[in-house]
Amino acid sequence: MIITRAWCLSRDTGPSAAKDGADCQPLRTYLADLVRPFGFRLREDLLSAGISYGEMGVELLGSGLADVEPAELLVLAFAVPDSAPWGSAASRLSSRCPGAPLAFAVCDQGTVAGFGGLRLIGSCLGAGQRAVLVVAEQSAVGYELPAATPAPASDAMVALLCEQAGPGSRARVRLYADVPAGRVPALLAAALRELGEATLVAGNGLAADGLTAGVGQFVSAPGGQPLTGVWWAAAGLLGSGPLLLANYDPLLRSLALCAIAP
Amino acid sequence: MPSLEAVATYLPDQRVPVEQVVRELGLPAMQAKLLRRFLGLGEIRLDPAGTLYELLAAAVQNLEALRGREGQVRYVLHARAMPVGVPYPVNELRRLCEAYGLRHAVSFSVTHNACASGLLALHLAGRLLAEDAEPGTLALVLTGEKAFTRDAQFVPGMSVFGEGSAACLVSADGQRDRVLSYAALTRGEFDGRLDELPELAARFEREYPDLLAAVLQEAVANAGLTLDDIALILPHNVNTMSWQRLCRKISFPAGQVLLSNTPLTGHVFCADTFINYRTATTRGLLRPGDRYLFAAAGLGATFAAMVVEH
Repeated sequence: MIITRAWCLSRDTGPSAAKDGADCQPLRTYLADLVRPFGFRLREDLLSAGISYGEMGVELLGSGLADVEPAELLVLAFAVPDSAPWGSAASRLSSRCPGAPLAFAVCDQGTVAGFGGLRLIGSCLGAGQRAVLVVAEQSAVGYELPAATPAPASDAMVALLCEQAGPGSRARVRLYADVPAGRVPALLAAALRELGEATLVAGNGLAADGLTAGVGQFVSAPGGQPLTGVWWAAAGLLGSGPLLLANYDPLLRSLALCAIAP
Repeated sequence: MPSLEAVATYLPDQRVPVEQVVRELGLPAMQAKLLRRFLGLGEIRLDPAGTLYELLAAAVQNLEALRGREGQVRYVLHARAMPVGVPYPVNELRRLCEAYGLRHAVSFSVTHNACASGLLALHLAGRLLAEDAEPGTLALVLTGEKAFTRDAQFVPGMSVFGEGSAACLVSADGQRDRVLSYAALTRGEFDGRLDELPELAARFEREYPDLLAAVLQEAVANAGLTLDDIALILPHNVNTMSWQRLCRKISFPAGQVLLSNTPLTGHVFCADTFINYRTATTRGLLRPGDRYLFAAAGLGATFAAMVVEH
């Protein structure tokens, strides 16, 4: 699979961006019912602060896709749920994407969901077809998160335009389940050895002490972007040489790698 | 060509009539008459004290074919109609993998295809296994959700949701219930809360039969067949009336659409089609070689169909 282009969008919303007069009752009801069995407390101050993935994604697609690039598939990858939890943002994005592609979302993969989305695109893309991966996260979650939960500091999205073949950066994804943190350095080192001279682009999940031990030089993703950071950094590096994108979700013990050859 | 190695299902014991659902949601009593008399719905199953984990685990426990083969499972997918069903970062799917000898498997949920997400998950499981090309490997597709809030209980003028679950063991190249084709259509202009958007809801109701008919036709054409070759449609249980109307539209015998569960379970999110599969096989409605159609539509909107050879 080839990544032909990547582009990004961020918004600094958060608590201060609460919209005056917004009708929060449907969201309040939904979230209250959602969190009740789990004992999480609602964050009234954040109920009107979120921007939906549909709303933000429309802006992202509009800034980077041309009408002459119809897609057959669109995949939205997220970890933090949408602030419009009843909506199908992937479907909405399909209606704003050239080609009105089949669209779906992938989640429950923690901070490696973007890698999962890319793997699914690689499995589904047929000859001559084009796909869009949208990796999305938002800072406003309408309830208190448990300690140590990877939480974004701002709203961010990265889009990757993928094709089955052609010019661009060749990408290969590997997903590892049930990886203890202690095994991560060895898996990273082995993947880098396989690639020869590649730059490691380390996601926020690899920022913990020791996870990148012994891998030499690497580029760290911008902080506060547990899901999108690694893709954000990669977007600026595509075409610069071989890359190994990597992220680790400590809660799920999931490691994900994406080898990119120019 | 992916195939269904085994399918297991679970329905909670508690039966709740649609009149009670309508009353508890504070809706006018007329809604209950609409659900029962016109839409052909009657009761749903619920486990008010049960969790999502328990709901999914019940189907996995019933999946005898999984016992001793856990090590062959590479992927575990949860197909979700509701885009958000548990608060972040709760991950019941991962917890389930750890409890059932599947911690080595890559797990994730697919959603935003609403009630058509189950067929999407089946399709994706097949594609992942095909790409790996490792003989003997399997994927586990889970469906089932809690009717935990109003948006997960009732669709105005259309359906009422019940609880239940299904677990499907998928292989890349098995001989049982081989998937011949999959077709899906995304129509994102219908994304929105329909009970707040009556004009959009009316337009969705108008266009729904044509869109679902188109995807059924596409799936059978992709399999090199026509609707005359289809022995049975295993539908989503949105209601019986819309399926009867659709059958007239596509000239397909309504008696060959398995609608007998709809009044008994309501719309069980993405699990309907698999619950109907179990009913069909238990009652001997499918003979070896029969081609049948899984079919589903979801708010948002997605329409999907899959042709399978029994």
